[in-house]
Amino acid sequence: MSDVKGETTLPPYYPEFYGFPPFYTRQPNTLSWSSQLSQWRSFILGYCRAHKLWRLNLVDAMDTELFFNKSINRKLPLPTIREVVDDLVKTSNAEWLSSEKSIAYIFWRTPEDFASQIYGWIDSTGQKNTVLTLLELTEGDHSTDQEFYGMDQAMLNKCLNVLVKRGQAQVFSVGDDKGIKVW
Amino acid sequence: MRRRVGLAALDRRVQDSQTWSSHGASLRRTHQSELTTQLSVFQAALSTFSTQYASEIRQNPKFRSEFARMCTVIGVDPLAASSSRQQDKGGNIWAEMLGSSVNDFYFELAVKIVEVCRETRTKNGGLISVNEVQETIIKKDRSTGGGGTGLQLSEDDIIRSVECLKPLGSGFEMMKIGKTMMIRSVPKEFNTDQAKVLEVIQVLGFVTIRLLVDNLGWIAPRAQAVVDDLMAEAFLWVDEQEGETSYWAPCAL
Repeated sequence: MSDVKGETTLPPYYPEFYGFPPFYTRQPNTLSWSSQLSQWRSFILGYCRAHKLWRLNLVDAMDTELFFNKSINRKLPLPTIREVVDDLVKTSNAEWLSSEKSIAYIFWRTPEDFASQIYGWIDSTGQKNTVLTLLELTEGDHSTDQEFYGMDQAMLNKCLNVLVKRGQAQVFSVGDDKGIKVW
Repeated sequence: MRRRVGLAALDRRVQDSQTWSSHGASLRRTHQSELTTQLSVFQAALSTFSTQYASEIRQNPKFRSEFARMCTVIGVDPLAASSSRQQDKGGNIWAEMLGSSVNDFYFELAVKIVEVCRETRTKNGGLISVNEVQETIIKKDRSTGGGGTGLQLSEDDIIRSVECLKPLGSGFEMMKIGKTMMIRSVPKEFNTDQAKVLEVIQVLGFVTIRLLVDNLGWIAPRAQAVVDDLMAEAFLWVDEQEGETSYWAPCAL
């Protein structure tokens, strides 16, 4: 039942099992693990989305409410967190910054989805065929209500590459910054 | 009087029995026609009742369960009614009388129950409390907009619906663990030890091996074997972060 989340109502992206102690121990049973994994996956994505987190430092995140439920004193162990993020990588929902697997970009929408969103926004605001700097996209005054607002630049590059590959955009240098033109 | 002993007495006896049998026949006829009238009156009443209160039956769980109980008392099974839809009229007479609203309600509900059981099987191994099914279905109904007024469901409705799945041989069974009614959607019979462990979890929320040893007087290997078996079937989840390893059941949340 959903009430295990505790007395105080938690945001809807909190998993059903947030208050269930075994949720923080990797389940040996494959069936149980598949359920556990999928709940953790959507929790990480939902959490990052709600907090506008673009990258996750696993060691730091370990002590946040994402992986540490103080009320029942349970913490998801680092190897298990890594396993979940590894699974997110498989579906393009995450990407390791380095092979040490300590920091990961979290794509709570896949790069393809973000690319389409960016394209849609540029189109609907009549900015096609004009050059926009990457900062205008993610920090500009007009895109504050967009999901990609504030996006990590490295992630943005990845998303824009999708548009370039689709033949919908071109990326080039504008002084120190990069610019993009969409058509 | 003595004349009766004569041959004519034979005739008389035949006559007598004829009279009796014709009288009997006429009695039977009146009786039958009375019954037929009664039955048709009853049918009409029941039918009117169920059409008149169709929406009430669908919306008010208390009313619905009372109606279902009344049907059981007078020997009408509102569910058997339409499950035996045969060519001859005898099979679905009740369905005709009750209208389709009652049994359709239970069948639609049964489909929803099967869905919930399937969807939650990875997390609970196929054992779920009636209560959770009830809440999930109501929540789903609300999120899809439902029937406007919102679906009202009682535990009794769920149990009745699960019962109507029986003829399908689908392996959906009601079972009682402790005080909780559960639906088991996988073909697995619990032995007494396993049932006992699940019952303890219902009460305490979890078990440990020591707890089982201390309270049930089992030896540790027995307790471990039971727990391991339930773990293997995904009915239990393990927690290793506080002292002794503990085992929890998602269905007892």
